[in-house]
Amino acid sequence: MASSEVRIGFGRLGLTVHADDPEIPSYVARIFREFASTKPRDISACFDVAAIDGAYEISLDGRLLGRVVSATGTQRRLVQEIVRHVIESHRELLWLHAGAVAHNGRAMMLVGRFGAGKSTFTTALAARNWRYLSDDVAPVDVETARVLPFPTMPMVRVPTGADLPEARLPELRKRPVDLPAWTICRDPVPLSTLVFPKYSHGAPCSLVKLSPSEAALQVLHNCTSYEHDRRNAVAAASRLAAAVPAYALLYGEAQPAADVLESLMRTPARP
Amino acid sequence: MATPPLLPNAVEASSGVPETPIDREIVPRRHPAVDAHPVGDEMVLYHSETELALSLNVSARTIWELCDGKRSVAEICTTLKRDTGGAAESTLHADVLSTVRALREFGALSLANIPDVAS
Repeated sequence: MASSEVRIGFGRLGLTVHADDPEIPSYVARIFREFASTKPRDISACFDVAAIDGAYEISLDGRLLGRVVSATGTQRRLVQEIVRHVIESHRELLWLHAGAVAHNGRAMMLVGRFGAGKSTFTTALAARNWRYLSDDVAPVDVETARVLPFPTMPMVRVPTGADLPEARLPELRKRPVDLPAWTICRDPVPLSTLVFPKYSHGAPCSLVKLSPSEAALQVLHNCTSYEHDRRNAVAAASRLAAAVPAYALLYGEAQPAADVLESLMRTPARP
Repeated sequence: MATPPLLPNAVEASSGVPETPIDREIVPRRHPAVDAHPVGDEMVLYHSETELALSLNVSARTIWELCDGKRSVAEICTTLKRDTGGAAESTLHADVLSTVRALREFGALSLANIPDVAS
């Protein structure tokens, strides 16, 4: 079996992914298409996927991270490990479970865990000529209140037509959404609005402004940096919530909710 | 006034701390392990020992800031009554007590019978 390699760059980090099975780097290259890098970075790391005894062993710089049986499971796990490593290499940023899009030079973050609607709204708004920054995880430079691009390929869940309880949402298959290159935003964008979407089957769309301290706790609740350094994460979340207006969005249908988000961006409220 | 903690590993605010009556002469004192982060007119508290955070609305923040280890609950009520201009004393007292109790249950305040002498 021919081996294959892909290079990814973010900030000061350069990553190499190498695998015996060429399908695996090919998948990673697709997800991280906008991170393709050949230039040298300050930090380098090498992920390696070896096919051993009917399973795949994922290693980072020679340290075994895990063993996965299926090729698709390996692909997903590898993407998670890459994102985790990028986050750990950039702890000065506040990392949120969030999609991010920009309109007229201002960014909106859609913050929430799985099933909240991050990918649904980022792709819906990208289809309305918004610029795409991220799908699932987004870094914020709190010092400048800017969102940095983290444009992994968006993955939206394929609905089955049934009303699944939240706990079963991860069971839904995901499909990649191939956004046109011009929609990808490649520069940091000032953050102007935080939105915390929540899907509820059949619910009418409602948008409620959060108080700054409520917003700070919601930011913390969705912060991947929190486990590394809780004290600094609380300080950063508080600064962010003081500077940026935040809203809770309850919705049952995506397109009317996307209309609401568009109108919100046309008339941003002050914090 | 104080909303419950929402962070991972959050515990029920009432767990583990026995309910004790708070009288008007009690002096609330801030716990040194608590960081206070102003967020607009509101505040977020973070307790570095329990690793929990708590959001305070404007009123709760005001009461927290008056809990300086010198003022008693009665003095906090008097200060608030003067600054807010005529709120009913019984309402103020009830608000102060409920906030002090919530802050104590979160671990942000300890209660003493005498004020701090240190400046």
